[in-house]
Amino acid sequence: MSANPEGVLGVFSHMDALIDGIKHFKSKGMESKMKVYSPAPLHAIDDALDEPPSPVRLFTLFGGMLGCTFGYTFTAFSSMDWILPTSGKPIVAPIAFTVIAFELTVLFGAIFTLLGIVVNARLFRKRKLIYDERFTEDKFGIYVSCPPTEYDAMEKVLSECGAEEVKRA
Amino acid sequence: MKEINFPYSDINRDILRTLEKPSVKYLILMTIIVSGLLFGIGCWFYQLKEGMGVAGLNHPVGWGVYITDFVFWVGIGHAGTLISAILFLFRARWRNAIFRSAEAMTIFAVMTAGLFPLIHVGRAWLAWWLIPYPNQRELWVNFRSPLLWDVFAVGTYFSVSSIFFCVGLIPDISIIRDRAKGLRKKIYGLLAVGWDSSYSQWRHFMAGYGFFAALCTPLVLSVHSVVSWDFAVSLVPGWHSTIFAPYFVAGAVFSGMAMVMTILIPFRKIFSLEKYLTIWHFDMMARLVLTTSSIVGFSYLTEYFIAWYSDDQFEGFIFWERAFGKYAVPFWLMIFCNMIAPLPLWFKKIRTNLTWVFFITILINVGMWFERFNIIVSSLTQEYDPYAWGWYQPSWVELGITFGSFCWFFMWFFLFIRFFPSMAITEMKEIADPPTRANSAAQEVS
Repeated sequence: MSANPEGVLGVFSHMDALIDGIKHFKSKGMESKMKVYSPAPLHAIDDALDEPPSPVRLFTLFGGMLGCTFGYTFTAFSSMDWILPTSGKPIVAPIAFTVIAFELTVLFGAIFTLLGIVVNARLFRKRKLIYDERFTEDKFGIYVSCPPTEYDAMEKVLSECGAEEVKRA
Repeated sequence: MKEINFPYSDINRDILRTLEKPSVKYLILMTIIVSGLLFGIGCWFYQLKEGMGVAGLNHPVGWGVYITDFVFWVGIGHAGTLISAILFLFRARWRNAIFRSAEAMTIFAVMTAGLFPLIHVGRAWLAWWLIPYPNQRELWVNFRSPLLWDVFAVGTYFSVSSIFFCVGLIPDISIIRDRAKGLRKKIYGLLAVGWDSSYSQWRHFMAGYGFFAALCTPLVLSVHSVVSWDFAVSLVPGWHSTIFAPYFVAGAVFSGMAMVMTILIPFRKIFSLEKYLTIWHFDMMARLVLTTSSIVGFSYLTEYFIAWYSDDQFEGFIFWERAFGKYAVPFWLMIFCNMIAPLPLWFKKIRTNLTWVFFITILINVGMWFERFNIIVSSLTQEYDPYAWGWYQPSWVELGITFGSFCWFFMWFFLFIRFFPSMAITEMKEIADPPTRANSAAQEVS
């Protein structure tokens, strides 16, 4: 386990105990050193962590705007590049192209949202921190990064908050 | 919501049970399905070799069973997105147990639908001409054509619902990864793309998930609207109508909900998931079926009213012929299955009796297929000029491919339920009470 970054991981059975833990570490100003695990996204934990809105929304907005612009310009460009008259319809027909622009807004918006999730949630990376497989079942956890000299003290704090088990990296 | 509130570990155990070694029954069923699919593929190869002559299509009916199948399958997909996206935005809690399988159905139904334009164009190897790309001929596609809108609508629909579906699966795959051993652990580990269930992931995941739902909501309404414009933008009597978009969207949700119920009722029985898929869920779905049935029925009547009120001779003639002409059987099947058969669902006793519900939803599936057949074929056979009239009868090749398409759809669905949790485990946890000191103490006392 020596390859892991240094820190301790408290495993909790109860959500209220976890929230006590979160509040304790937040009051100590240790938000940036703490990582919280939960089997499901729960509003009570959201409230306790009280983090700013995820930047994923900017990705979605950018993707949507890009898709919309691309939809109109691409259809207009290709219609002008190869003039294909059909009955009396205008060559560049913005109303007809709105359908394409709408679809591409949604498509690009979704692709950029996916990108936003991958980048921000740091997917496709190897897990380095210590982990407990029960986090995907019914256990919660708080990981605190700290040097080995503070392990004993941190373990005590986690147990006091209600951690049933504390693992060391 | 007491009835679907279970401890987290029970939810894991009960739902992961569906992934255990398949029974002999499953293997037999799969063999039958794959044989049916092979037959369908055989029919298609025969058509590729012999040419489109082996399909019943000829002047004046250039659109027949293949386009009927296309519209039918795209429609089936709509219920999945409705449940997964629209009901997510409305926070309807009954969606959590059913949305995963409904969403899987969407993907597989759109995959099935996507085959039909390829089969229908005959020379399937030239289908890529539909895609606009810079080429040596300096030709571009015609963006003013509804058929091209359809390429974009269905393409976007498939891509976006696949992304939505796969992203939603990630936390559940990590659950399997953490319980599996050996090679399975490796495979699911790769598929879980480094999910660790931490809040630094949940936060962005949930934000993105909300946006996917928000993007899918207008998308699903647009897709069948665009499909309906394939018809409505033309000048064919019986097609050229502004009611088509809402009428098609309601019909799509109607048929899709029916298909979800047709699949979930046996699924619940086979895997003994009565605890999770309760009568309440089916009651809710039946209400949606009833609502959309009313919209569809109202549209049928409106079409007739307008045909009479517009005093358009051709429109009136087509609608008279639909009911009393050569294609009266599909018409009355459509009226019976879509307007009359769902009426018993007004009664709670029927809605909560799954045998009845199952029977009614099968009728709806049949009715909705014939609705599309009725719209497409009856209008084309008797357009404006009587000299150009002609009749159409599906050939065995077309019916064989249709049968094959059902097998193709079910093959994917059955493979899916074997390898992935067909109920969203994490979302079931979201609506359950989280373990707290207070409720653990209460459990110990009881």
